[in-house]
Amino acid sequence: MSADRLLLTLSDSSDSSDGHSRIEILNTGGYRSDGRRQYELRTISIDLSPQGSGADGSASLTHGLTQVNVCVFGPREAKMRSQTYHDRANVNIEVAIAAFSASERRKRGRGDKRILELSQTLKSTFEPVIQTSLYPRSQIDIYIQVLQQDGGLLQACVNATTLALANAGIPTYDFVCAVTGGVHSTSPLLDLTLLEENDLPNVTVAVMPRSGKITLVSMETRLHVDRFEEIFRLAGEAGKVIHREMRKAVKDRTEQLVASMQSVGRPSTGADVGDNEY
Amino acid sequence: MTSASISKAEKSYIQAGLLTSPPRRADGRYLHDFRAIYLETGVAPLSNGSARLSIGRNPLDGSGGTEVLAAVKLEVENIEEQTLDGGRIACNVSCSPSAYPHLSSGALDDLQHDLTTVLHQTLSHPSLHPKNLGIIPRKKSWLLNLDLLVTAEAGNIYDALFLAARAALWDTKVPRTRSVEYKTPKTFLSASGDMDVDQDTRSGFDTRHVAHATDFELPDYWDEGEILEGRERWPVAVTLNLLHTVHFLDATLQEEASCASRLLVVYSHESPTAYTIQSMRMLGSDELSIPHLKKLIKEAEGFTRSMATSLTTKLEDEDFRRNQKAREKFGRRK
Amino acid sequence: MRPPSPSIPEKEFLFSALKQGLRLDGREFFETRPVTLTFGPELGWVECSLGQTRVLAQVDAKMIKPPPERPFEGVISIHSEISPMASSEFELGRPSEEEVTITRMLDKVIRRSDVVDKESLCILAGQRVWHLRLNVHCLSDSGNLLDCACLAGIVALKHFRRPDVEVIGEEVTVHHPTSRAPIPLSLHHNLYCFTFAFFSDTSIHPVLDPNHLEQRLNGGLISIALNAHRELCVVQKSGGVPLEPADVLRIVNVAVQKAKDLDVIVESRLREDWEGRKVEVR
Repeated sequence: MSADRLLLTLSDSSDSSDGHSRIEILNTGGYRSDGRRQYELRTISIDLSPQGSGADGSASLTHGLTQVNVCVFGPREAKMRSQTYHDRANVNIEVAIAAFSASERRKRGRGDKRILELSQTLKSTFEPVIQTSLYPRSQIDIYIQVLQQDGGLLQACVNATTLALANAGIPTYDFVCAVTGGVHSTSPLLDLTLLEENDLPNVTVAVMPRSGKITLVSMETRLHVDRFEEIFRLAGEAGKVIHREMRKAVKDRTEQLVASMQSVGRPSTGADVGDNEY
Repeated sequence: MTSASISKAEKSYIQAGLLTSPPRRADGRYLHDFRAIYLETGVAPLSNGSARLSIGRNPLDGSGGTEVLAAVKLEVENIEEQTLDGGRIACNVSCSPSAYPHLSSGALDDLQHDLTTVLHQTLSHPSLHPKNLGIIPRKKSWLLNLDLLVTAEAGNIYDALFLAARAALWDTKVPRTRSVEYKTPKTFLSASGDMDVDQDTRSGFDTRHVAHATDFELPDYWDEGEILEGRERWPVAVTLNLLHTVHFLDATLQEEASCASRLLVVYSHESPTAYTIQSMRMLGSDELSIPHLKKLIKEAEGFTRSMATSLTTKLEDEDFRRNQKAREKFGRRK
Repeated sequence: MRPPSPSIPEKEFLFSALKQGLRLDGREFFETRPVTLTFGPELGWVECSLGQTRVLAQVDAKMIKPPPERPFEGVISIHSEISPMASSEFELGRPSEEEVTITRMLDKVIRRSDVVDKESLCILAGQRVWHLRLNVHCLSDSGNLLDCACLAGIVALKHFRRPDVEVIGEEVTVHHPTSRAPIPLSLHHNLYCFTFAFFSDTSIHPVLDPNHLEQRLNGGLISIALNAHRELCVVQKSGGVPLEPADVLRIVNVAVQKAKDLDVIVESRLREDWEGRKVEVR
C-alpha cells in the first residue's frame, strides 16, 4: 500500500457538473473518473519564474486542473505600525479566488468567511515554519491567487506557498507538503478532483517531510475513525511523494539560475520567446 | 500609475528626454512605439472565452510587464423586465495585491472600482451589444460576465485591459441553444395549473443541456458554439500620455508618474472605414485646448486602428492554432 | 484594547507545572471541566458552561417559503455573537480570528454535517418549511469558547420542540403547544466538539479543554467534532506546532471516548429536564 507511484497523466475532468448519468467514482476495474488509479496523484507542474510586480519570490503550481499563483513580498517594512513585532516578522497572507475559477461564476470578496478561514489556516500553518525571528520589525506578505479550482484547493495553496517562500529565499525549517485523501466506501483515494471531493469524505493533511510531523489536518465531512486513520496515514505518505517533486523543482530552478549567472553577458536561451509575439 | 513614486530629479530627467528632439525614452523606444505584447487565448478552461495578455514582459525570464487575465462566463438569466431582453454584459476588474504590492487594501478597492467603471460603461453600451445573447425571447437570456484580473502592472493598464477584454470576447463561444425543446414544459405548466412546477420547467429548458445534446459528437462542447455576433466591433483603447506639446504611447510606470495628464480614447473599428468613438476620458490635472484635443482624438484613431488590425490578425492566428490542436487531439483519439 | 499577553513568570509557571504533570485547575491532561447545562423556561433555551466559560444558545422556528432551488428542505441559520462582554479580547465590528473560527466551526458542526434532518422540516413542498434560527451568545470566555459554543448549539437543538402542524390539502394548521404536544426535531446524530491544546515545547503533554491561560499560551490547537458512534465530522488542525502522526491519532482516540462520556451526560440532563416539564404541559 504505497503511494509511491506518481504517474504523469493529464486528468481531463473538465466539466463535472451536468448532463450524464452519475459518474462512477471508482469503477470495478479500479479506475477513477479521470482514469487514475486509487493512489495515483494528478500531474503537478511547477513554475518558479518571476511574477507580479517585482515579487521577491513566486510560484505557480497546478495539481491537475487546479491552479494557484503565489507571490511573496518581503521581508519588508510593515505597512501598519500595529503589525510590527520587536522580536519577529509578521506573516500576512491574502487569498483571492478568481471569479472564473470554478464552473459556477462566483465572486468572493475579501471579507468572505471561507476566504478568511483559508488565509487564517495558511497563516497559522506557515508562521511556525518560517524562521520569523530572523527578521524582527518586518513583514512578509504572501499573496495567493487561485486561478482554477478542481479540488484540492487547500493542498495547492499550501504547496505553492512553500515553493514561493523557497523561491524568495526566506528561510523555513522545512517544506510543508499537503495532499488530500478521500474514502470511497472502503477504498481510500488520493488527490481528489472536485467531483470526488463533493461526493466523498475527504481529509487534507500537510506534512513536514524532514521530521515526518503533521502540521495541518482538515476534515469537514463525516468519516469513521478507523477509515480516518487509514487515509490519514496514507496522505502522510503521499505528502512525501509531493515533496520530491517540489524539491526537484526548486533544485532545477536553482541550477538554472546558477547556469545563467555563469554565462553573464551571453544571452540566455530556452525562454519561450517569439511565437506569441505580434 | 498609483504605485510609482519618483523623485523630482528622476521626473525632470524623464521629461527632458521625452521633450528633446529626437525624443529619448529609457528603453530606447520612439514616442509612439509599444513594448512587446504577448497574447494567448483559451487560458481558462472553465470559461466560455479567455485570454492572457502581457505588455512589456521581459522576454528572457518572463518577469515584469503588465499582465492581465480576462475570462468570459455565460450564465442563463431569467428576464424579469422587458429591457433586459437579448442579454446583458457585466464587466468586473479585480486587481491582485501582487500587482500593487505597495497599495493598502482600501486603495486597491478604489482602483478596482475605477477600472471596473470604465470597462463596464464602455463595453456594456447598447451600440456594441452582440445580438446573439438572447435564448428565448422575453424568457431567458445569457448574462455575459467578463472578469478581468490584473496580475502584474508596469504601466499602461487601460490599454492592456481593453486589449485583453477584446481578446476574451473574441474567443467567446455562446453555446448553441434550441428553443424547440421548450414546448413540452409549457403545456405541462398550463395543465397542472398553479402547482409547484418551478423545478420541472427549469430543467425542461436548461438550454445548456440542449446544447450538449445537439452536438454530442464533439469532445468538448465549450469549444463549439457560435462566436459572439459582431466581434469585430469590440473596441480598442489607446492612452495618450500628454507632456506639453508631445504625446507618447504605452508609458511605463515611471513615465506615467512624470506626466501630468493622460487622454484615454476608445475606438471601435467595425471595418477599416467605419469607426466610432466609444469612450473618452481625460485623466490627470492638466488642461487641454479644444483644437489640441481634436487633433489628439484624430491621431488616436490611427493608433487604435493599427492596434485593432494587428490584434485581429493575432486572434485569427490563435483561433487557427487552437482549432488545429483540437483537431489533432480529436484525430488522435479516434 | 487588547490586554497584554501573559507575563513571563505566568508563562514559566504554567509550563513548569505542566511538565510536572499538573494543571493549574487540578485536572488530568485529558479531562474536561465539569459541564453544566441549564435549561430555560422555553424549549430550546440552554445555557452551557464549561468551568467559567459560558455560552447561551437559543433556537426558534418560524415558517417561511423555501428558496426555489431547495423546495423540500427547511432552512437553518446560525447567528453567533461574541461581544466584548465575553472577554476584553473581542472587539466590536471587526471579527477576530477566534470569532471566524467559531462561526465557521458552528457552521460545519451544525449545518454542513447534517445534524438536523432538513427534509423533516418541510411542511408543504415548495410552499412552507420551517426556518430554524440558532442564536449563540458567548457570555464569558475563560478558554475553549469553541467547544462550549458547539455543545450549547447542539443541546439547544435537541432541547427544542417545534409546534405540531397538520396539513390538509393546501391548508396548514399550527397547533398551539397546549393543545398538542410539540415535536422534537429529528436529529441524525449528536456531534460534540473537543479542542486540544499543545505547546511549542513538545515535551509538554497536550491538554484537553484548555483553560484561559493554557489557550493564550498554546502552540497550536486541534479541534475534533465527532459523535458517540466513532464517526468524525470535523478535524481541524490549522498549523501550529507540528505533531507526530501517532500523536494525532492518539488524540483522536481520546476524543472518541470523551464523546461517549459526554453523550451520556447530555442525554441524562435532557431526560431530567423533560420529565420535570411534562407536568407543566398537562
